[in-house]
Amino acid sequence: MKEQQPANIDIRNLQVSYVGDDGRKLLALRDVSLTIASGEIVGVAGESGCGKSTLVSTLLRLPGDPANIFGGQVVMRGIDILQLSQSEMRELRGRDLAMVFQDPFTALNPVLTIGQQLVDVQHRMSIPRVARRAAALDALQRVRIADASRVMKLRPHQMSGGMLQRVCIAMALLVRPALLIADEPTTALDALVETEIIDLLQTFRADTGSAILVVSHQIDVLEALCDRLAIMYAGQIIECGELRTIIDTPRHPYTRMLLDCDPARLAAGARRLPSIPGQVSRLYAEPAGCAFVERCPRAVDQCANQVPPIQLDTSRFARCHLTPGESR
Amino acid sequence: MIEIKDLVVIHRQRGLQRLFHRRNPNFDQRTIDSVSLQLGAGETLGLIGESGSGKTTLGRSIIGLQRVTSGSIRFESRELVGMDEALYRKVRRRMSMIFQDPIGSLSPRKTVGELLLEPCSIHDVPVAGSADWVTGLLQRVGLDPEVAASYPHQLSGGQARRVGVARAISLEPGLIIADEPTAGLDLSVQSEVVNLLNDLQRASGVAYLFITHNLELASRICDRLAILFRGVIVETGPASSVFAAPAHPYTRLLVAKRGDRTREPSVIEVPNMGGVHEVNPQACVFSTRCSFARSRCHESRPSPQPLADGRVVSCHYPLLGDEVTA
Repeated sequence: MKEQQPANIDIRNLQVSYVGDDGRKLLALRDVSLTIASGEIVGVAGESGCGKSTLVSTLLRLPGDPANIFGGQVVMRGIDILQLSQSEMRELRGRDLAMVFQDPFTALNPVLTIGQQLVDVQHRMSIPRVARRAAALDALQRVRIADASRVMKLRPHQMSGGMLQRVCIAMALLVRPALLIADEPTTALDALVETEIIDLLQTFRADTGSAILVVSHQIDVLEALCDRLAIMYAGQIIECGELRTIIDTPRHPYTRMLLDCDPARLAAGARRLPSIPGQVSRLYAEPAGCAFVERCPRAVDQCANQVPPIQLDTSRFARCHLTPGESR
Repeated sequence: MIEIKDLVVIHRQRGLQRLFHRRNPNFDQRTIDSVSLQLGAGETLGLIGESGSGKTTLGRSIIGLQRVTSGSIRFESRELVGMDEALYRKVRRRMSMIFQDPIGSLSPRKTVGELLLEPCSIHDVPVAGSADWVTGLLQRVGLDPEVAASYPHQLSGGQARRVGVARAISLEPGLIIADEPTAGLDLSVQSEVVNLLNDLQRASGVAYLFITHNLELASRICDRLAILFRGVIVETGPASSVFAAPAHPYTRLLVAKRGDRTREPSVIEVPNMGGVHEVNPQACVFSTRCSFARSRCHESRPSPQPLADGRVVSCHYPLLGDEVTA
């Protein structure tokens, strides 16, 4: 197997927009900066419409994506991958970038055997066919599939969702990417399988030294999986830092409210679940103040008309006018 | 309200399925295996299980979308299994279902207003001033009356759920079967839908069969829980005690926090072709995955046994913590 050097991924001031149904420009990512070090698992959480999926598709730059990237850089090994041509990008995907999708049933080709797909994914490597088959078998064993040689002959419809997600992770293992992106990797799976996938992704990081970006709306999954957490709201990262710091002492009111909504965090017997009234606002222009102001129970005058400062701490930041401690 | 006794649903393998199932051509899958449950008026029963455990099939058999092989379902003191079709339609008005796929369960060619009137026309319930009636219904589920003119594809996930809830409550049913009513929703929207269901229950006294794979959510919003594994109820009882001190090893595995969950055997079995589970019908359904299983578990199927705190557990060696024996 080809040995590839791990790398850090540096996302700097990313700005992305879409053209909405009414022809107006919709801001999807606003000044998003995030560094994922090699061997690190970073989670991105937020409600639908907060920009999680746009972030993923911008990193992959799949053809046909209607997004307009109008600012920022994504730097890997000293290269801004946003400047690469589509054919250079094609080289990068499957070598430096790999993806684990939400739905393992549609992520794989239904008419090819698992073995064939695991061999095909190695097409950039200059090793003989026999070695590719051996590597495929090894990858299946590393994602803890027993009877790997039998599984090589199966097609996706003959397997369960958990098994297929393991195959997807095995594929990424063969690539040893600098960055693995996992978009809701456990959402379609049962609770016990979910635990196993979380464990596999952690083993993956230890084995490959890849940087891993996990996007999920399930806070508890991110809590079990990540080292650092970024909370997104209206296209912006509004709080980011070490996982435990963010979860134990959230500084941004939105982070706190989002965590409160997780039923696992509720006191027993509390039948009324906390929610966040209102909806994520769709932004057509940069707001004068904080984008969360309409839904924030702690908003003060300046929130509506002054862009919140980025409060830095040694290990994290939050975009909020409230001084540390006030948001608790 | 509803009492289910020894319910069995067997999916007969047909045509190609039968042909391809070479090893055992007469194999029929028991999707629901002797399930007994009760649900009282105004009560919420959480039905928990993984995919393929039979939880949706159980819900569908109550509401008549799934043919029952044997057993009894009594609803408001009438036996539903084998009931005359015309009479069943009348009884059926007293129940409704919130489907798992909120947009897929709504006809794409009808407006929300038309969709909300549909149950009335199906059950021949005359509605005076239909526009006002639709407005009233939309307001009860917290939707803007203007939504009546929208088509399903124009709705957000949360709005589509609310329309599904509005349809379910429109004829004032005694029982609502809610099949994963919050799947795929953001946490805050999930809270809103759950709170809405709660408010409606307090106002009308409707009973819910709440089908979900989310044990944490269910333990907080249900009165009682029933844990389903491969068509068998392995544990049932008050939600607080099932969650706080699970007595069945399977429940315990589900309850354990993600990090502490007993690791699945490090090498995972390859499931049978087509996902059909072939388990020795004499053995405990969980015996092949249970880390506490002894020889008796592989030889005889445990029958449901009551515990002191009102729970019923189908296990030869239930895990009795101090909370239970005390």
